[in-house]
Amino acid sequence: MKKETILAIITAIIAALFFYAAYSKLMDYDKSRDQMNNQIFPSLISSILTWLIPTIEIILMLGLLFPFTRIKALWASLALLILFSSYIGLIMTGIFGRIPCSCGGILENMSYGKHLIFNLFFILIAIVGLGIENNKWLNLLNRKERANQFR
Amino acid sequence: MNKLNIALKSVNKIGLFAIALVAFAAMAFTPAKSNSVAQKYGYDQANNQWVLIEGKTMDNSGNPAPGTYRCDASSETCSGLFSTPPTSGSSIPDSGTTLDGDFSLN
Repeated sequence: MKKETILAIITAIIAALFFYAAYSKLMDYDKSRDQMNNQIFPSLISSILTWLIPTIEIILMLGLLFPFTRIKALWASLALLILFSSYIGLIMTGIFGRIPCSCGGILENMSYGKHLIFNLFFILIAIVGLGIENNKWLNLLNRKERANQFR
Repeated sequence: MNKLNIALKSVNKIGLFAIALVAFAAMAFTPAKSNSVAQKYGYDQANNQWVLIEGKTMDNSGNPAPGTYRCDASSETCSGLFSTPPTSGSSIPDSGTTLDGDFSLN
């Protein structure tokens, strides 16, 4: 399979994930707000995150669809997924004294452990995507260097 | 305009297909909202949770009847109506349906 096709599939999977995440939050905004209030953040931060997270997810979804924004969107996706996973990891340690709900569409039926594995899978494919993308640029640079040598 | 055309032509078609598929599945598997009547819940401050008190009556007397609840004078939230059952203690009742007081079951 061509690298470009693999990259298109990887970005499609991550874009679909962000679409679903944003869709499930925006379609039931009241529930999403309640679930965010159930998290460990102060109410002001919770109210900001309620709309900020789906907004970021939509921007990343769009970024992943276009070739000229794909690398930046992949890096940002990786950062966001790592941030989410770190939060889940911290929750699982019990550092905050209570375990808030593991919310968000189909994910609300998952335990935090399963949620973490789910996120790690997407982190892994984002890393693979970035690896392929960077290799592609590296190959392009090498080809240019070789072309310059023969001039 | 030309740039927009180029951008639209270069869009990840697999990505568009995946998003359309997820949108279709999400809509297809989302149950329709039932036209349920709002139910009354009392806010149990000690356990930070909402307790269903639909059908129960308030009794703030010194000798309350069993199966009732009380809302002692306080600026805290005692009870509220929920069109959809509360998911947590921080769930917010339907607008304008809250009653102040310290909630407890008799």
